[in-house]
Amino acid sequence: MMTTPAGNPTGPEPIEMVEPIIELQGIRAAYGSIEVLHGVDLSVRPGEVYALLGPNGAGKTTTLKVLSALMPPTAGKVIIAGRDVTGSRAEDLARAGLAMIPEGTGIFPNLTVRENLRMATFTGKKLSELEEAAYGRFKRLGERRGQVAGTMSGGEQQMLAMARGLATDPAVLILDELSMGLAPLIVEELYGVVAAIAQGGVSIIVVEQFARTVLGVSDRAAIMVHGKIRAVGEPAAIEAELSSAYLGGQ
Amino acid sequence: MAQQDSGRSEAADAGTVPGQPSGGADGASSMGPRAEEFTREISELKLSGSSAETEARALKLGIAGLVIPIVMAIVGILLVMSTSDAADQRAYASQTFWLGNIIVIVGAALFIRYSLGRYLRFWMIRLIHEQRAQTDRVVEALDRMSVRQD
Repeated sequence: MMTTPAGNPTGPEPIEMVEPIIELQGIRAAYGSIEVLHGVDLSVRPGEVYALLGPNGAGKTTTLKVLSALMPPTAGKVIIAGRDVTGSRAEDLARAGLAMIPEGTGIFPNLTVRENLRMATFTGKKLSELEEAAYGRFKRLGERRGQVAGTMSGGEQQMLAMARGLATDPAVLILDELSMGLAPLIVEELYGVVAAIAQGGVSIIVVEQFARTVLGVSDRAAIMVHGKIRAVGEPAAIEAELSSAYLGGQ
Repeated sequence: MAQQDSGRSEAADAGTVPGQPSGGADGASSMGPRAEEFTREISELKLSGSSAETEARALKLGIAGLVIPIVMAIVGILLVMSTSDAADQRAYASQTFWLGNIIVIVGAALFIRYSLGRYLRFWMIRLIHEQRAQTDRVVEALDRMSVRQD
């Protein structure tokens, strides 16, 4: 079932009323004097995989930056777990359990796999625990634990980024362009892990330019164009709207 | 790549998650223990009057702090000129002088902090992107060198 941007349902199925764990209300954001988000409304339910799709330059990454408090909005509210956290510090949200894997992985390319995982020990967990979880989830990382991260393939770097993000035991995981520059088989492997993580009750927000990759693992999806959410709904319904959204038919 | 229309249950089989608790069938609407812990931690966060417009307001306050002392100086001059009593003139002059100075210092500090802060944030983001691009180029060059040596 799909809803219009105003939130009115367009189909007969009732929407389950669950308090969202993440909510953006009327978010506007700008880089200097250039406004890139023009009133974004978004809500993510607990344990849900929510895909935010849209063409390049739609404002998806900016939305994630506002959500994770890396960038203050110029208007609107960020509500997390029912509390208005607009203007809070990113490190406070990260400590509470919101983890973001940014576009381009965000790993330290001059450190080894092991040293990158060591960076996540600020949570209080031992390196051995983090390594066990990371290498259990991504066997390829275990084989390359002493390798400098910048010399690994794109897919392996993305695995390392995910392992490091998951080491913080997040309740909300934000993934920005997970599949960028990766081979389809690697993307499939990574999204398999995403789906498995979601089964554990983690709420996941995924931003993707290549929509069909992520629709297979999503509970709901939204299309963003020119700084506004154009449609929200179930993956099958959203997929039908994709081509017009990307090619400017709407 | 095969498209998966049936949602995440099939895709989950492709991943291994050691130590992860199994989710319920309706994972999209249940609040697991980690989510409840997250909600509790968020509720305990110490947030000081969060607002989306803090920066913009502080910048406007800073500008006001730079303009108000000018107005105060004009008012002070008029007050001094309106009386011939030397003691009153000194009182008007010193009050507007000291108060005006305090306001202009605070206003200037706010203005510099919130205008420079935004500029420096963008500069740092750009620096990070450039360093990342630089690292990618170095790695590429090293790869090409190792291929040639082979």
